[in-house]
Amino acid sequence: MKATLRKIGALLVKDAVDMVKNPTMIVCIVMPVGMAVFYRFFMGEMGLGGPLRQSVMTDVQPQLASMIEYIVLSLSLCMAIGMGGATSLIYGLAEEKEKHTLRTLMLANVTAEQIVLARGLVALGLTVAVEVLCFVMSGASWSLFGWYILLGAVGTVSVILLSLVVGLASRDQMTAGLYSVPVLLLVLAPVFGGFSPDIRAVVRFAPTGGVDELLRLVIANDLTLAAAWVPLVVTAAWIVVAAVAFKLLYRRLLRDN
Amino acid sequence: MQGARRTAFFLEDDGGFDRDTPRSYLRFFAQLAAVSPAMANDALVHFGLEGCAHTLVAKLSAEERALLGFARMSLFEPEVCFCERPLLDLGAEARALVLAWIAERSEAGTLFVTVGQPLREALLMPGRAFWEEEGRLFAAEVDDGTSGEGAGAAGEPGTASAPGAGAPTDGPEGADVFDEVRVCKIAAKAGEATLLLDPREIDFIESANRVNYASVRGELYPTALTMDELEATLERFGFFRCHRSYIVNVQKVSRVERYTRNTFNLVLSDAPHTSLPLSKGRADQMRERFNWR
Repeated sequence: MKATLRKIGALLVKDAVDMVKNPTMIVCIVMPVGMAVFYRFFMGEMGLGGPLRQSVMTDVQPQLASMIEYIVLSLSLCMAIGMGGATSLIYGLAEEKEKHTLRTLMLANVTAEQIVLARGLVALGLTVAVEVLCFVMSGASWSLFGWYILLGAVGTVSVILLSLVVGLASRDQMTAGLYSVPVLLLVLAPVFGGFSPDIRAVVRFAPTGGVDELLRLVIANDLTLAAAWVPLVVTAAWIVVAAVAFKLLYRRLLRDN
Repeated sequence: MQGARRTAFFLEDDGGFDRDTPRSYLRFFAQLAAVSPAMANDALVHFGLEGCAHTLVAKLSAEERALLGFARMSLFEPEVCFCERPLLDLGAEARALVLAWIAERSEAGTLFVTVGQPLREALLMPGRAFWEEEGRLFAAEVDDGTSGEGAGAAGEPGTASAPGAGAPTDGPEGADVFDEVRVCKIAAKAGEATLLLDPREIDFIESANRVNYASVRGELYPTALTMDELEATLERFGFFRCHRSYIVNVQKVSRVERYTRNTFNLVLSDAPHTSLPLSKGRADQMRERFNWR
């Protein structure tokens, strides 16, 4: 047990330090935060951003304010999960496979479980950190902070599990670029729900659809058990599906390295 | 797991973490191996990597990367060590470092399994060497330190000994024909052409896969002569049978290295600083013959 914890600790530090040094990972952090800032001021330019600033809150209907708050937070949440939980993980693992460093680790008595656990935890930490930055930059009410981070962390779990599978299935960074597109589209799907009710009816079943719907309910102050049970079930179902896929595939994919 | 042995692996395409430095890389593996960071520093120094300790792994040369791989393995104090082409990217100095470490670990009881080519690299490793042909493994000749005897011994090349296919044109019996021009050329094949090699150009003769090759400026040319014929012909030009499978041009030897009581190598002064095996018995013969003290 002590040896396991020592190895996981070493892997966590290595992966975290490597993530900071990796230019691709910097993009994963900058993009969602940049989008949060852009949307905040883009809407402000169009005369819709005012509600986000306390000084003009009284001039705008509270429903409109919460709608804009939801759009900015929903986008930044999905972007943070997509970039921090999916892209960083898929590219990171693909790079390790391409350069055979995963094999080096496994031949140095590090188990597959230790490697993926450390990777997953670092991706979760990165996603939460990006979510915090996004929230700060969005200018949303601090009363939503706890919910935003909680929903972000829960929504990341299934995406991390799926991304571990996709990352391990990628031969190199080139294939990672290809494989990460559908994952990213699935994660960002709730953002497109605002375009029409029909699209919304479909994307609410995406991996991040559940937490996105819960975020909308929280912002609109409509969070009740009756309204929350479907998004909760969707989120839980994705976690179960991703966990089963991960359990079935990760060992075989790591062996192929 | 009871009975499990500590293992370490060195694979040809091991890349290392590009954004690490040798120092951080070895410290990470020291943590995995449950040894102190001081040992990582010791490994860094032992394998001559202190000069690039803070350079990114991505910017290391192939030789430095290979040394980093050996430094990593040394942290685990392995009982079994698998190495794929361990000497491939190493120059003379680095090769000496690695061979010394392998000899030291081997004496300490580590079992080494190495694969690679050419055969002479395998023969520099501890233990027995095998060569592979059409999916079958053949034991390379065991050198007991006695030279020349046992013609036709297992693995003795002697292929294609066709008449006139490069046999020496001069012999000791010709000593009483004073006005005859004494010519000695070693015939070797290069594609369709037959090369007539001046013995002074030849760095060494290698026997591998039942074919004998003359090495000239880093190129290997197959010759139809047997090792015994080549030894007899080349002896008077300063060649010495340092191993059953090798005849070396002693004039080209720049250094004799000794790693353990029974492990010797000859390092040549050719461009790649080729290392050739030298068995203990033959080392004594060589010393006597060339009057080295």
